[in-house]
Amino acid sequence: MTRIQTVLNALSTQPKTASELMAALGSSEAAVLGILETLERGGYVQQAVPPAAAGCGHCNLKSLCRVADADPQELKLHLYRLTTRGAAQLLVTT
Amino acid sequence: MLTIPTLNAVPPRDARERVVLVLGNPNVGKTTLINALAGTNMTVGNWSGVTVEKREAKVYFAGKAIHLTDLPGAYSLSPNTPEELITRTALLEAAPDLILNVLDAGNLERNLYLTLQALEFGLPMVIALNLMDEAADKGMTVNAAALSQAIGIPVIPMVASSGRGVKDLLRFMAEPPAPTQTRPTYPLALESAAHQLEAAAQAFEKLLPHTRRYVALNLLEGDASLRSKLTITGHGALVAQSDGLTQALASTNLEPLLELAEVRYSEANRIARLAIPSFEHRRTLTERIDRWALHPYLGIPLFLLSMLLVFRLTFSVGAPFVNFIGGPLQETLSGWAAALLQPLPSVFGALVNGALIPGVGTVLAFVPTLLILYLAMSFLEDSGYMARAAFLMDRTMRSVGLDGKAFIPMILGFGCNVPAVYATRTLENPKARLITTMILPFMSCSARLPVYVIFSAALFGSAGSTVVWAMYVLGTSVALLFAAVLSTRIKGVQDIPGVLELPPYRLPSASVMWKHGVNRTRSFVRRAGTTIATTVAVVWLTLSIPVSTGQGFATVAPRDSLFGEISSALAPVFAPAGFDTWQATGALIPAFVAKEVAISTLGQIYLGEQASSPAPLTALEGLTRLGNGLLEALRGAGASLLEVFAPPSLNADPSSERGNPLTAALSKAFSPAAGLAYLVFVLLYTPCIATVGAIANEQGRRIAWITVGYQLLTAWLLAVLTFQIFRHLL
Ligand SMILES: Nc1nc2c(ncn2[C@@H]2O[C@H](COP(=O)(O)OP(=O)(O)OP(=O)(O)O)[C@@H](O)[C@H]2O)c(=O)[nH]1
Ligand SMILES: [Mg+2]
Repeated sequence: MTRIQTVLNALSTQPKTASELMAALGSSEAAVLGILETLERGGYVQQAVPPAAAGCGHCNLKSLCRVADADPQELKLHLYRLTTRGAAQLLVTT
Repeated sequence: MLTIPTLNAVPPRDARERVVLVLGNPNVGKTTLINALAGTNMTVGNWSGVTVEKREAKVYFAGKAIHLTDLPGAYSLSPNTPEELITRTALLEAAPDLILNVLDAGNLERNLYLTLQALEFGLPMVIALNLMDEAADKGMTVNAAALSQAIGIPVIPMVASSGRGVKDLLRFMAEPPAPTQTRPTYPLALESAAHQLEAAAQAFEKLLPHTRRYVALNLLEGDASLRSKLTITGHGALVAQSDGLTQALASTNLEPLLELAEVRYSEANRIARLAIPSFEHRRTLTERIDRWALHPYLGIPLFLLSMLLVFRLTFSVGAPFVNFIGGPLQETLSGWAAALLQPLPSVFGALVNGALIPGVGTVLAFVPTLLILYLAMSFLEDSGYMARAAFLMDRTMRSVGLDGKAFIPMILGFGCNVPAVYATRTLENPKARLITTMILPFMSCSARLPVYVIFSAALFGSAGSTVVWAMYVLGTSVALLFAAVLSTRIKGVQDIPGVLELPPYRLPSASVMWKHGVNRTRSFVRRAGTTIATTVAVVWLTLSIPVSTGQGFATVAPRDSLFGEISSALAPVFAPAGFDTWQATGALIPAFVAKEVAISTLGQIYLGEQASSPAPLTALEGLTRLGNGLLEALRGAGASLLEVFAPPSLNADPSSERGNPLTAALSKAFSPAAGLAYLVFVLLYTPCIATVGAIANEQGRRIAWITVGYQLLTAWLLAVLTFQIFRHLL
């Protein structure tokens, strides 16, 4: 599997952060972030919605929940998920 | 808006001058390096984006005037930010004599992406391998020679901030090396499309020769800013041609953006590995903590210990406030209410002072306790530790036929069972969902905490917090035990093992913790004002209705009321469990509505009579009493902070048992063994109405009734067992 496929594949189950993808790619966190940003630019992945917008409120689960795993003060989650384009790309290549 | 400069022709250059573009990711020390070389004093800073515009400095070496152009930091030459746009424009405008690419040695893989893109210009290039000191601190030995060999250009290791290695760059600036032939190679179809575009670009003389390949590749990649720039500068035909080529590639399932990224990122990874062969992996903080937190044998004991500390903190810091609210505050409010209600019929006084204040007040006395608990839990959750708890439980959960993911609703159940029941929806497997739902109500929700706290304070002295903690452990153990039993009884597919992801640890911000703590506590307060107050009123009503004739409404002795009669009839059921008084049994009945009602009802029964005729208080008397009480509570809370880490002792310390009126009443009414059995029963019996509703909603009424039934039975059996064991021990 290519590196891009590995990323798309890993994100197909649930949103992940760069640090969670490190092991699968054997890359540094910063390098993974670079890949994710490139994929984001191409519209293949997007950042998950901040918890405030997702309505998680003060849910007990937020530290476990992949969608809400972020500082609510911060606008971006650094948690990436596949877009429909990304999912379609994954289908094409596998 | 950014003004897009036109592509100028190269101005003629003096042979004694050299133009050097300093290119690199943000915050890698480009400006520091220029300052060190040219003795300038341009602004540097430890964050990205310090330099936001092109800046120049001049240095003389070997008879050459070297113009150093400091560019804003860029991760790539496919611009995402205005700064990256400025940097890209500088590269397109004129061919420098040298590209000086500054790299962060400790972050090579990411930095190399830009290097590989810059190589497409085919210009002379040198790498300044900066931040060597920080890389060494991270435990990396970066091999500059290997890097140089892999890319085919000179690499100078340096520490720009201390000037080390900086001067070695000067000779390359004066005499730039020949451009390298090394370039990433892309899939054939992409290369040939790029060649066609490069050839077409030759017709546009404003496009400088060194930019052709870059322009071709970035057009194929779909670089929006480049497209619009080229379109408005009269290169529309080139853009149109690239669109045609991209479409042709797409029809063969080839996405140029992905192909280019794939090659560059895997090249960057490969080269980084060559340059850092002995990447001695220094453990990150998260890994170091996890070595203990996720230890196969110590992990669970450590988790239990940390929960014990949480409960000790909650218990000892909260207790003085419970006493204050349940004691001086309630007495003062009753006194004031008595003064206010004097002109009204006595039944109002009875309702307010005999029911609402002791009932609702007893529950509200736990607001500080819950706030502390929620703050502590929020700390554990936000820091990432709770995710570890679920991870640790994975093995245990598997042994009972579930997986770690099912532990997540269970942790949620510590807060409130209702959302926990709904959270089972995240489990894909229907069997796992059913089992988890059925065992969830055993998880001790926060409504049960007030019951534990007040009984523990009344009966177990300094071991109180351990008793509270033991209730949580017991609830979880019973839940797991039933999961094991149910998973052999209920048919269904085995779960596909779910993977739990562990977030890195971080120190939660105080404001976020505070917000979460207050939000959860608020919903408890809201319940006290609605559900609890209503239940208290209903209980008061049944306590006021006489059964035998000859006694009047609201003047009847509690034992002879409707409530007292029903409770007395049921009480013998609990004789083997040691709490067969009508008061104890009676409190369990309305607690079906919400478990903290057990406490409000006990408050009504034990305190209602004496409190219904308090001496009226003046405003001043009340305030003095409140002030003194609050002061004592604060002093007590401060002192008890120290007790959190002291070893628990099972002997109740009578001196510390100042307590509030309810704890005093309970310590007379219950023996320790009976009290413990009572807590076990409250922990395990029938879930509250809201939870039953949620279960019926998710799994149907049948399952809801089964759950109610088997929990009632379990609770009774274990309460009896507890009493029989501990009557001899305590
Ligand atoms: N330890 C260490 N620190 C360095 C070194 N070089 C630069 N720094 C520090 O790194 C930080 C960033 O330096 P800058 O020169 O502002 O980085 P820059 O690349 O110009 O950053 P931008 O303009 O934002 O792109 C500053 O705090 C420097 O003091 C080095 O070799 N070692
Ligand atoms: Mg700078």
